[in-house]
Amino acid sequence: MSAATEQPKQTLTVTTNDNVDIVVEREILERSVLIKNMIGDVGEEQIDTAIPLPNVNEPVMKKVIEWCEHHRKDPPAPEGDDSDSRKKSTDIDEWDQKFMQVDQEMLFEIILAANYLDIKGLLDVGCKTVANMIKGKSPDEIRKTFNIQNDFTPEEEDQIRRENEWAEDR
Amino acid sequence: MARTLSANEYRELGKRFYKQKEYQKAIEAFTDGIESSDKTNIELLESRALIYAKLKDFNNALKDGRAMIKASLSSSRGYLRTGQILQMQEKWGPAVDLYRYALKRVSAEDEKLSLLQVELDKLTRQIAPPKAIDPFTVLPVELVQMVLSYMNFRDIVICRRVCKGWNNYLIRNPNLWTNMDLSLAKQSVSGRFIKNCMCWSKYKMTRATLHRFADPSVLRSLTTYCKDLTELEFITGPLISNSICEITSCAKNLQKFVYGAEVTLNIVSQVLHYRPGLVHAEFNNITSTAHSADWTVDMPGLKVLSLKAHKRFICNLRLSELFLRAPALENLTLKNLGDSTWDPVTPSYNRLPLTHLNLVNQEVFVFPPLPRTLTHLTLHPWYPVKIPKPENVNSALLSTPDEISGVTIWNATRCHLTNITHLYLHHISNLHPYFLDIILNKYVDDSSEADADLKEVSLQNCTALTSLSLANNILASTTDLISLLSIQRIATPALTELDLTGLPITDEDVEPFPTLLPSLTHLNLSKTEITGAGVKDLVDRLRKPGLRKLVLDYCYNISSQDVIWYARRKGIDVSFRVSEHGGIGGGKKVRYG
Repeated sequence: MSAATEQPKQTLTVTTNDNVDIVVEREILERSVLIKNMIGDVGEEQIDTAIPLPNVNEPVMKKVIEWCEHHRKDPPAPEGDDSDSRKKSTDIDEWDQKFMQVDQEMLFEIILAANYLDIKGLLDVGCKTVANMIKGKSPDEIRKTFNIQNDFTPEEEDQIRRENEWAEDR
Repeated sequence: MARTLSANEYRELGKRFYKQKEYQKAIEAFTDGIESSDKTNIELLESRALIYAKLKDFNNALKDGRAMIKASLSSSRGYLRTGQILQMQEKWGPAVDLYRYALKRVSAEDEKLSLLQVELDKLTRQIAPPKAIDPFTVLPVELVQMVLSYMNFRDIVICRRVCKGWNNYLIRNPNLWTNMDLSLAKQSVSGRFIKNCMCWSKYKMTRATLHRFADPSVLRSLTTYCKDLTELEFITGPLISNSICEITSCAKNLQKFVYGAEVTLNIVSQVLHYRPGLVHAEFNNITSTAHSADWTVDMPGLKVLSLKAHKRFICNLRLSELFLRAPALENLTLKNLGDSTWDPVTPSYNRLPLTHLNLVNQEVFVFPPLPRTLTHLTLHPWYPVKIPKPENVNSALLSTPDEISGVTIWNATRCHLTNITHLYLHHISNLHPYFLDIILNKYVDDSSEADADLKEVSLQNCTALTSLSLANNILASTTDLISLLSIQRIATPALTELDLTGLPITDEDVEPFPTLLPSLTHLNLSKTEITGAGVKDLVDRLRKPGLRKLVLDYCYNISSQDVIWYARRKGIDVSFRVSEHGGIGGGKKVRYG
């Protein structure tokens, strides 16, 4: 092992798809399983070269790094066991809630980046945030939230409405 | 001005003024017209509203709009005009509410009904947040799936109505329909929905929770065609409870059955007869019409059995027969069933590998013998069990148990509960520390019959309690609370939940809690004599991990709400009821009472 790895605050450089280099502490960046594996693959010697991230732009990467920094001490996510997924809680801690108060474009880009970079904790928070934007709302309110056009014919809508009647608030 | 013209003539006059841009005169003409008509004249109101709106006199415009709606609630005209005025004022929210209301009220024959929907959709899109994006189109399938995994069944059903794209995606995704959970149904469920749900799941449904659905024939096809159905729960049942036997007999692979609607003991035994492979069976509302149970088949796999009645009645449960048929039973709950075949001295459950035993309002005249395997025990006898005085314990130990107090001591000394973590003892009179100590820390080894000495359990080999309830017991006159809580296996950092409802507890009694029971997170002191000062002291000093739930219902010595808010500000969930309305016994809502 080279002497560099012994230092506590080793940094790495990533290049986002809009050609911006960002220097980040290695420990923070390794919350991304993708980057961690990349480092493992190229070996410690080549670690000085910037890591290209062709699917993430700078503003999104900055947000992702902010999240990883706050959660740097989190224990690794437990493996698997999504069997009872319906009972999963959508509680989000306060810091994460504030972190996710961004416009929808940014929200979805963070989710996509978390998926690409393989950061399970961030991906979970993102999906929970979207789920909370849908849960407990009427179809109308959901359309309003996401700017979706109601493209059912009156007959189709009537049929689903009747089938769904049990689930509607009255 | 004397009114000499007809309503129609005023209208023509008003229109003429309008064309000449003499708006004030036009308003006067329309007003005269409105006042000259006997019935509300919608045309004139609308014309006047338009001019008011043009003059930006929105208050008067809205007034006319509302009068139009009032004159004909089922016509779209008033709603459309009023909505338009609201939109001119940029009052988007009220306009959306109005259109939504209108869509419910306007009759189906109205020609402009669809216009209302168009207006609503237009407005909905217009006021969507900037950069709103449909997640179903921007996220890849596996991420949409992840989002959906955080939603309950009802939310997913509601999402079908959003648009065609969402509906098609949802109903072509069989995994979303294999756990049909109708527990959140607000009104009755249609048979068509259940049939569709079976179809969307590709008949791979594994779990069904039924509520507000009563058609036995649809239920029979559900259990017949969905071969993978392993869990079936009824919150409310079919109208004829007999059909339950048929419905369950079709579900060949059923493992868990929970029934919350009324059912007789006769049907309980029949369901178990037809489905002897059940692992988990719960009947939460047994009624007294048939008094006898009949256990006719072996149930080697049955591990959990719960039989509860809402109102107590006397019946013939034949539990010894049942236990012979179900030798693997681990979890047994009996509530409100006055069993005439119950043997309090040598109850037959004692041979079962029970880990959970809950006897609530059962006839338990003496402290019952208990299997060593127990981890959870709830003992809430129908008649209070009286514990003999401490000084009489040793004499009862030696003599043959002939009288009731002797049997209680005999059983208590023979139980050797090394694994117990949850102990709930209620309705016990003359409770004293020595008795709790015998249950938890002492036993008589019957293998060496020569001397019936009390031996200490070895603390290395047994668990400490994590949850203890001594609610509503009557303590022996000489007993103080602290000596009860100080005994081994109770006063440890393992204890997190403690319920002392109805005990004569003062501030002085709870003062040692932080040192004695440092890990308490859930504490129930309902109906005690604790004051605000005592509560504040507990909140301040129980620090690590700190209280999370505190129940102080009917604590009349707490004179001010200040301490309640103080605790809530510290993040503690506090229940503090002061009137008897709404029932007693803690603030938790349990689905099956």
